[in-house]
Amino acid sequence: MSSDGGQEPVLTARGLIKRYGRVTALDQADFDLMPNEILAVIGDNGAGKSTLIKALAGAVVPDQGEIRLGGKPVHFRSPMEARAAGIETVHQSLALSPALSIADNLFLGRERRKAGVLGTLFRQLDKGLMQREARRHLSALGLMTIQNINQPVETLSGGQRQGVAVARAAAFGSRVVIMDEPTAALGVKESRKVLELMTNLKRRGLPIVLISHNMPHVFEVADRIHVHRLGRRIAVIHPSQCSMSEAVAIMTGAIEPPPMAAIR
Amino acid sequence: MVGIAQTLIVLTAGIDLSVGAIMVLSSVVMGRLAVIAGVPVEIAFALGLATGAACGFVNGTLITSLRLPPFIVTLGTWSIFGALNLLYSQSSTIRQQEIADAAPFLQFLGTRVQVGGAPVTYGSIFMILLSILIWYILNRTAFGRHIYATGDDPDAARLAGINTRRTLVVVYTTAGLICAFAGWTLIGRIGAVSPTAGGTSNLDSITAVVIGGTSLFGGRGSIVGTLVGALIVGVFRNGLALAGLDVLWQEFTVGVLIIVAVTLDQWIRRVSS
Repeated sequence: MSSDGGQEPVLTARGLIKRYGRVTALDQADFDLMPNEILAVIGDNGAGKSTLIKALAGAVVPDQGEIRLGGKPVHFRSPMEARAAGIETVHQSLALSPALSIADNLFLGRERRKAGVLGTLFRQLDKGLMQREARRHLSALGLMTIQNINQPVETLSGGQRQGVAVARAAAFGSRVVIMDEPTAALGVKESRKVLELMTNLKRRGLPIVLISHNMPHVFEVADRIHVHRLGRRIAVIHPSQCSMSEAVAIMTGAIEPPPMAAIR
Repeated sequence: MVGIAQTLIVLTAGIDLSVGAIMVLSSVVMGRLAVIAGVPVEIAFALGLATGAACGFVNGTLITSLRLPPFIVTLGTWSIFGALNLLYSQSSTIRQQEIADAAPFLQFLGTRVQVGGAPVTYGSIFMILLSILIWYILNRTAFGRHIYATGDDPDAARLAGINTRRTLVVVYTTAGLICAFAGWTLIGRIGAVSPTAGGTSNLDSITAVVIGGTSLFGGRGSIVGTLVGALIVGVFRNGLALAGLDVLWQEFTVGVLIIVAVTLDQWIRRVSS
């Protein structure tokens, strides 16, 4: 059923429909993410790609359609449920708290308490453990240019912040990491670093969904590209078999997409 | 003590203008129930605390469910709690002797003990213990981190999985409870229950928080800062009074102090970062 050696997809969606009043944001949208790949999702503004991603991350509940994770149907009613199932999202806004430290941010909402009575009765946090773990997660991604795990996130550069957000997703995302415009706010050098980070994650076996408007970045790291238009997937293309201008033309409707059967 | 409650709220990027009213209302409930209605003092005390917590809960619920700015909500509840206080107390004071006869427990925090040769009231000791407790919650528990995160960037906190609405309601309720304890301290300090006492405590608490370096935009600051802030204002006032300065000029200089202190604070932060 697929070109990737008959592997089962990690995350799929079939026939997703989402309407906001008279606007149909998702119109029978499909989606497939294979294991060990970076799948880019591209689409013009208003094509419904962010609604699609939100549905996969639990932030939007589709009116109709089915989402399967690892072959099993899932019904996320909140981002927390998607996270609990192993889908982590790196939001464009990063969702970091600037005044808190790197370690605090990594564990925000999932703090570790001390063992024994100090943890259960006095609910004391195990700061030492969280700092050690945070350091481990950051070094695993080659991010230990950050010297002090207790420095506030606001003292970091944009790229370093992105690194912290990615490290958080990688630390807790067991199945899928979704990255929303990770390079949009970054300079050339920092974007490079983030792209390396993504291939790094992929090498560690985590499939990534990348939403981006930046075609050179998409073509550089993506294994397959999901093209979204008018609320549905109109094509899946391989960067090796397609040029950037063709991709943009398909995305904007200037040329007919290749038939789906040929590319899957 | 009201400053401690105010610190919690300002850390969430809110402000509570009703803290003084909650404090007085709670003290009035304790006093009237115990002295005039003849309710056992333990129950009167507990109901007073419950009143404070309930007022805070109302604030928190209005802010989160109506999505109104805390300034507006607490401006409204300030009037409401203040009016309830005057209605319930019929604007009459319960005198020191009446409390001492019927419910001396309410004056307990005014008792003086010698600590290292200096007279200290139980109220002061109680406030220090409460500060330590709140410091612990803010710095050593997940809930404390969530308070900072909620004030710092509510959207980020929500995306990180924090229930920011619940955090806010709990913070406002806790602040109300602390204000009720402050009402108890107030009875100890003045000996009587007066519906018109503590009129300046609203603004005093904000002054202490601001001089203590807590940002009104939320997410930054500490309990220690507020204590130091309250201490600075207290010492400053005392010093000026001892120097024989007119009360009105004392007010004037405290105002100058606020502006100078916050300017210095901002300047130091800019230079150090």
